[in-house]
Amino acid sequence: MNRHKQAGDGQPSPASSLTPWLRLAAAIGLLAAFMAFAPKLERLPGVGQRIEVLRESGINVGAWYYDDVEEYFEAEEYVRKRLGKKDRFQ
Amino acid sequence: MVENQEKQSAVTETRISMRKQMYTTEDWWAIWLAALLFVIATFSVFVWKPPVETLPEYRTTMEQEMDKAGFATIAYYEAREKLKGVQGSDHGIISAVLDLSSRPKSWTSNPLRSVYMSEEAAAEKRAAAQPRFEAAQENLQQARAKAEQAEQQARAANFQDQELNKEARAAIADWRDAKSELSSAKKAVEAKSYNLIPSLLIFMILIMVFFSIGAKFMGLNLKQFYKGFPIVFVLAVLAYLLSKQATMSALGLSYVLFALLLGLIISNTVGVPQFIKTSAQTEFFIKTGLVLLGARILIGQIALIGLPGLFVTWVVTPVVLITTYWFGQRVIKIPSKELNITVSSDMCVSGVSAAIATASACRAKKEELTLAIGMSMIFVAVMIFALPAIANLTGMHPVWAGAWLGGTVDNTGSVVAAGELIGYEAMVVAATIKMIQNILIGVIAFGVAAYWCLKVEPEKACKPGETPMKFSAGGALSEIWYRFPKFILGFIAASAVFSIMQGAVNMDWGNAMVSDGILDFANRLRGWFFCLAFVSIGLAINYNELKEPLRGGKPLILYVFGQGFNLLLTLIIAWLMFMVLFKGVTEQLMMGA
Repeated sequence: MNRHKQAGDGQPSPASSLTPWLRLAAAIGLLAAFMAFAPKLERLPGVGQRIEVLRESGINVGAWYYDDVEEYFEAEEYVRKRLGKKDRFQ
Repeated sequence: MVENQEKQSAVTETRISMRKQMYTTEDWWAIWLAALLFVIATFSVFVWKPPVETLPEYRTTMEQEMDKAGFATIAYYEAREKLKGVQGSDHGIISAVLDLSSRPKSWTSNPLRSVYMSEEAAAEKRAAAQPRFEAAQENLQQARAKAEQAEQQARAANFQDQELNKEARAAIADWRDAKSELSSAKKAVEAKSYNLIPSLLIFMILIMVFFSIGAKFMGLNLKQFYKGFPIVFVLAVLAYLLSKQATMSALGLSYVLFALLLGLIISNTVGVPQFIKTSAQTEFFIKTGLVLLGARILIGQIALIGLPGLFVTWVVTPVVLITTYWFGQRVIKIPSKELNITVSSDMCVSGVSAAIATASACRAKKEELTLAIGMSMIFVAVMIFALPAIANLTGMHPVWAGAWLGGTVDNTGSVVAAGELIGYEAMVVAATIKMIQNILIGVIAFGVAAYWCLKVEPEKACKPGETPMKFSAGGALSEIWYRFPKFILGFIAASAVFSIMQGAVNMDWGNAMVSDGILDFANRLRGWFFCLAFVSIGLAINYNELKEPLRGGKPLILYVFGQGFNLLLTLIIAWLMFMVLFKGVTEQLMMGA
């Protein structure tokens, strides 16, 4: 990724009439509104119930590599046991 | 003269000797620093050894019980719990670092709870949890008595009566559910006050000093690095904090998304001063994290489900990757090959981890990586619910459905979540398929790096219309070696060393010392390094630059085409493998159902 110049000079568009700090406040406000609104997504039909199942199961849904998810180790053990792959236990 | 100058500027570049590269470039420093961390962790597990001598006793109990009963008994689960309790991460330096680097905790409506809870609030939480705890305790006692009784009856029949065995298994399953409920209630009833801020401050200083070792040799301005690093770190803490909100966690919106978002907000509003830019060392953080990630790519896991698993992952995934890349280049003509390969591998291998490795291997732009990850996260949030709904509605076999999910849903946590919405067997198969697919990351990163330095970069070095320079066999090797992103070597070496280590030792010992010791330590630090990297990426991107690769909606078309093809091909191959050709494997996997 280093063949390109350091992207973003961080300067707001000159066309904007808002000052940088107002833009920052507006962006933070939007993010806060999103965070406040997001739990309401759970009221959508079908979604809330499924989210509750996932929450009760304690799965780390946002993990993007297997070692952050406990169930992967359980799965490995289950598969080894079912398919008779016990050799590494000896 | 002018022509000669042009020719020279097109083909010549300032070459740094390999020796100098080894102490001045971030690729090599990523390797050295990750190696240092592995050495520290290894030293810790051997000096502060967990009680591994007790492991054979627990394993013997488990095997004796399994041999006698043919299913997991109460004694089996109790021995397993003790066995799993032996962890290198509970002792020495590893334990201290894990405590210091605690990530913000989950919260529902008060974000402060993520890093701080007063004694009063803890007492309130304990009191509120007391009735649930008492009920769970009583429930557990009853469930335990029932499980013991059912097991005794089955044991009295020498485990030959299938009906009694079935009843015992069901009662033991209920006891385990009650145990898990008690454990969750116990956590709440034992809630303690906490304040993560002081430990996070110490941790910040430690990693700042850690990275400054490399930064000094790489020629960065250390004064500016020290000045800006706390800001990058605070943004990383905030990213973790936002991702820990209960709904965000359940939707799988991880810290990666919030880290990018926070960085983007700063860089596109008030701007990023030079001292923060000096600290926001994307490449350095990401490559160090990737070398640590390599240690978790355990080649031994490739054969977990045998041929059907290999087909669904190691045949379908490369076919989808190559087809999607071809579609991007030839059909929709994506201007950037780097964007094309990053989106393709993100979509068909395993989401964020594959995107980071591929983008680093082909030196994609930061905004290209951001785009690939952003699209994948949005699609994943939909796929978690849509695919299990389709599988449930059509009555797909759990093993078939699990293989389909494992091969197609991008991020690993989301794969387990989607599988869980179908059932236990589907979850197990989905997780295993994804684990096997994860091993491909190393192969793809290596392949992409080699292809780029041999084919794509020489083409770029030529003037338009010229033929790329041809290499002799020896010249090509030397050229590949020079251009090859060296951190990939660290990534592959870490994978090879830990695969050999895990394969050579007894599995329980390996789990206690390596997996739950050295690799737990590496995993925690890796998460922080990637979080710092994603904040840095956001800080370096201008909104207008993000718009450029989106032009014409081509990346979106690429993603939708690739994912559609992936869903269809994986569905067919998983059916062929698990429902037609290797039915025996499917039956064995369903034996516990």
